[in-house]
Amino acid sequence: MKLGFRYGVGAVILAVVVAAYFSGSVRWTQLVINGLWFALLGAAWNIQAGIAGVLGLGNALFIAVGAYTSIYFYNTYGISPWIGMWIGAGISMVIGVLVALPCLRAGLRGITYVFATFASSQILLFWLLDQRWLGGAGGIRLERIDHSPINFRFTTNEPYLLLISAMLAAVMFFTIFIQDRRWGLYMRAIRENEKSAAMSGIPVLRYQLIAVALSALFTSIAGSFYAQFQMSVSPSAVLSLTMALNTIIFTVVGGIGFVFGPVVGAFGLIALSEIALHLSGTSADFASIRMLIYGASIIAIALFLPGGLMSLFDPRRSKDES
Amino acid sequence: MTLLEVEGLTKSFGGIKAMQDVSFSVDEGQILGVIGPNGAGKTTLFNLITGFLAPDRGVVKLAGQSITGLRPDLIARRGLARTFQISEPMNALTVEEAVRISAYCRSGINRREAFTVAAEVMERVGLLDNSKKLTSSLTAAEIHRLEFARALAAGPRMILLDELAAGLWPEEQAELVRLVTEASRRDGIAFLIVEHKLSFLQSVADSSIVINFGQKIAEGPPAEVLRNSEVEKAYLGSKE
Repeated sequence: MKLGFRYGVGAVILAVVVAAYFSGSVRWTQLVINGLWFALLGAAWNIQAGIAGVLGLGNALFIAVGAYTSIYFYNTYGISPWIGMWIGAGISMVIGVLVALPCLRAGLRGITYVFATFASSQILLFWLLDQRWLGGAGGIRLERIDHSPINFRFTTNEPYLLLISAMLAAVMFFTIFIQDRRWGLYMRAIRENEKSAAMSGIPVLRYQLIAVALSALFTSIAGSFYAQFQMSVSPSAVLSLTMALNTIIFTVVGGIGFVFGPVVGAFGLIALSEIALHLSGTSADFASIRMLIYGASIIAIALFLPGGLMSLFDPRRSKDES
Repeated sequence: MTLLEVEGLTKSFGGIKAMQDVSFSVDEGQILGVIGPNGAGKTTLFNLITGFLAPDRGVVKLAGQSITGLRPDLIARRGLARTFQISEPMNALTVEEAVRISAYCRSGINRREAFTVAAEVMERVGLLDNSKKLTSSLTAAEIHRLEFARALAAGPRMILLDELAAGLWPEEQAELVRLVTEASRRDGIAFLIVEHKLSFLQSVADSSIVINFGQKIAEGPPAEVLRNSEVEKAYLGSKE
């Protein structure tokens, strides 16, 4: 049943993507790309937080590195974003490990680790504001718009929709693949109990760092996609607290640790937000009503469904079930 | 042949001497009980041997090689498995996943072999029917069997059992005696057992040491050791 449900959720998401693809509507494709992008961020965060239990709040840092790197290398050296995104991913993995290593080794867990990793993304924010070669507060934009698949540059939204779908699918397949293999089992054992995991012979710190590096890799790729799709990036756009929290809210609402959690959360909340927008029309205070509905739903889920939406269909995983 | 050698193990927490100059050894396939009242230092002893605590002085050797001060996972990979007193659960994992994790820690094992080892071990301890269940849904007795299965799946040369018989019914306890004896006689696995249930220790242990206030005060077969007056004083002192 669990597997059947997975297929069901996958089919619904696929249907939405296909519908958007053939809708010919810029607004719809944009919206679905946005949803898939946040789902990708969530899926990447899910690997470190949901599977390995390393609760970091610094992933916006990797979005920024991926975004800046792909644009900077394209502008300065004419390197295709297809290559630039991997350079960014490499840098992100190194930074991710360099930040996580001392924090985890010093025993930071829970809220202290959250603060430490969030601080690392804020350090990058303030550093970027002073870097004139990276455009300072204004950020950088693509200097040459040269439409070509080689340059990651398309005239319409549809190819971007396909690309982001493929990226999300790849990360989700990867997550499913490792789930009951050595890496996934080790990470889940560490999430459940570090002491017991160590006594089973698992090098705890090493696998925590692998989880962080994987998370950094996929988040950085998502960052490069963002930059190429938007054709620009600025420090405040990607390194805000909102950006960091959105990823987590989408994942937690959908179901942390579930492969489909991030995508269900992202699509669910974005759909809700759109419906609220529609209902409130264009009245003067529509923005506040929209946020009110949005906020109330998140609180309701946190209170009544702490395992997230996915736990509705897979009660086996819910914590209260024991 | 001697498998585990503990020499002059000493550990202080602040001004409290938790372990003072404790020495003993365990042979291959031998079952050694550790007896002592609450707070005597039994769990500290386990933590020192398994690398969760570093001793101030003293040496721990496994098969002639020093493992003193090594990380717990490296000690585990050298063949020392351990169960925990308050069993440290892996709630969101199924029984078979929890056992496979230990099997994966055998060196050079591939996925299929790990799954086979896990299935064999689950059958041996009688958990095969519960293999798809979440560990959080197991009964206390089943959790104890799972802890034993996880230790066994790692393919150890020695297992440290910490209060594994606590809270078990007599028939469950007898089953545990059978499993431990079988592992010792058939596979040559050595055991170091901390246990409050003296009936359990007497029926399973070849020999025992008695610890009180971090010091070894007696050594010998459990039945003999328990007749020792000093042991009686340490253990049943409140009756005086």
